[in-house]
Amino acid sequence: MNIIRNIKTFFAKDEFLKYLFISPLILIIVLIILYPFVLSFFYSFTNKAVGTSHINFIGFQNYISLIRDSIFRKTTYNSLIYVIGTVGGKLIIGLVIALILNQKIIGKNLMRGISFVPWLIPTFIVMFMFRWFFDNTFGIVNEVIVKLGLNPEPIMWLSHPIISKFVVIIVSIWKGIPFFIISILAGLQGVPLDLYDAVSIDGGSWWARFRHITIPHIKGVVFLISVMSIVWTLNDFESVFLLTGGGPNHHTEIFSTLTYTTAFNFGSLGKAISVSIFMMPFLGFLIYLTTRNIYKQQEYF
Amino acid sequence: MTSIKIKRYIFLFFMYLIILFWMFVVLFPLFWALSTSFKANIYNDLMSFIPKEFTLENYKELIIEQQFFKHYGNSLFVALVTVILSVFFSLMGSYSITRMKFKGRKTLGTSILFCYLIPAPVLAIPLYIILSQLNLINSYTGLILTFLAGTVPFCSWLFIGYLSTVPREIEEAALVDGCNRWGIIFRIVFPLIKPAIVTVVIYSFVLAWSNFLYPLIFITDQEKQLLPITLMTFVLTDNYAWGPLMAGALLVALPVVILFAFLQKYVIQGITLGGVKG
Repeated sequence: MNIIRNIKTFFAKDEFLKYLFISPLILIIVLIILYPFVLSFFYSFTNKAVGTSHINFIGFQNYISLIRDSIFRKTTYNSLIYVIGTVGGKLIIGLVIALILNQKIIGKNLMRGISFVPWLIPTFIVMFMFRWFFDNTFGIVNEVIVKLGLNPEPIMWLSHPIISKFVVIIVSIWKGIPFFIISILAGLQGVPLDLYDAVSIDGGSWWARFRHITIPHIKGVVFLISVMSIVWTLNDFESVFLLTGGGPNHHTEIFSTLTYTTAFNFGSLGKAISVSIFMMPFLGFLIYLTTRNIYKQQEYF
Repeated sequence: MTSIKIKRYIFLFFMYLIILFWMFVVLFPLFWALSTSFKANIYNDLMSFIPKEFTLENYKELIIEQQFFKHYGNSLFVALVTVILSVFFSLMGSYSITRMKFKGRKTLGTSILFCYLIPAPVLAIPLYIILSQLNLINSYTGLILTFLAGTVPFCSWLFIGYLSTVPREIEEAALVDGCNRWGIIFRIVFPLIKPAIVTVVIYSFVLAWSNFLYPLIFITDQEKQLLPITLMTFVLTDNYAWGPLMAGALLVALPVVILFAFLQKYVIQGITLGGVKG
């Protein structure tokens, strides 16, 4: 009887419960995130392929063959362009829209609501919509361009080597701007209004107010969301995969789509993992920057 | 004086011009998808904004011939299980971290943040290898586990942030009165942090509902497939069924937009809490 009661009190005790409560969280972190993460380094040195359990260690061969591969070099260049174009565009347009939505304008709440809409729509749906929008033969964009005589023939939006890059970037910007608007708007709420009045009285211009009051107040937020956005954009798979599939001739291929095709069209899992490991040092640095910044702003522990 | 006034009007003019143009850029593609989904003959009716001949044929084809609702059900099931498990696991974990004495909780906090920032595509292939070894390819168990890897770190982070702002006096009083830890979590803490719970529910629902890469890789059986991949097969077929595709796109976006419309306040609060705090 005593033993049973002892066991019962043990299970109700904090000493036991705190480990019980935390264990699903720890198991998920360790088994489904950290273990696969570490495992990927291991597999990048093997010739692991789809459908076989037999693997050989091949040293740095995956990495060497990637560096020699012109498609991989093209992919690196594209990823860079994609990240710079997308994050830069989101930042500039997002900042302008957020600043306007922070003014006293007619229909402010409605406009704020509307400007969040792209963020609500699942990415793959956005890509379907724009694929139809920019369709080479039947898309509305080409219809308008040809009917208005802006260009005598339809533009190959999704299959032109250079134009397709722009389209992918523009669509990603469309999808990602609301996050910037919401975050910058939240940052702008922290700017004390009497500061603006002070500068106005001193005869400061719009630009002076922006430079000396607004920017210092939202600098932290803007930096943080930009870094996070770089991480996400660098790993944005669906946008490119569904819009162009990396084509034409790899002109819109980025790391994540190349990883996918290497793994599932060619079956070389080991080599595919090496592709994503190439961006790991850069990714690690960005994650470190984000973590440090969030810790600076939030004192939870 | 007048020159300042003129300057002000020019400034206002450009401000409204930019914002109205942006509203157009946001709304037009959506409107176009809506309009396409009701068109009887898309290729003869390319330029008209309002369909010349209004029809529900596209929706009918989608629902009857493509078994759309079956896949809708699959997605809904996976999303709901993901939501419930995410809330449960994250709440327990973050309660333990913030309220019970714990060695190494700072390390744990950092690793939660780190895990939140690891992008899903980086984990996709090692997870694929692990799931095939465990024979969990094509199973919802495997898929939901991988979704949890995406939701639980963010949700725990949000809860930790939220819990640390909630005063502990009520919980301590309840503890003294003999309420056990389970009672405290579900009767006291749960109602107190409702806004955070709403955010977590929406975040996990949207993640599971709209994740594209994981079902693409981990589910190969067409019968079990989730919505995103089922809809993709429309685009990849030769005849490009744009009408039904747009109809499907709108039906998929609908639950998310409705969820958001009702819970907007909490979501915005959640985003600004979760990643960024101005």
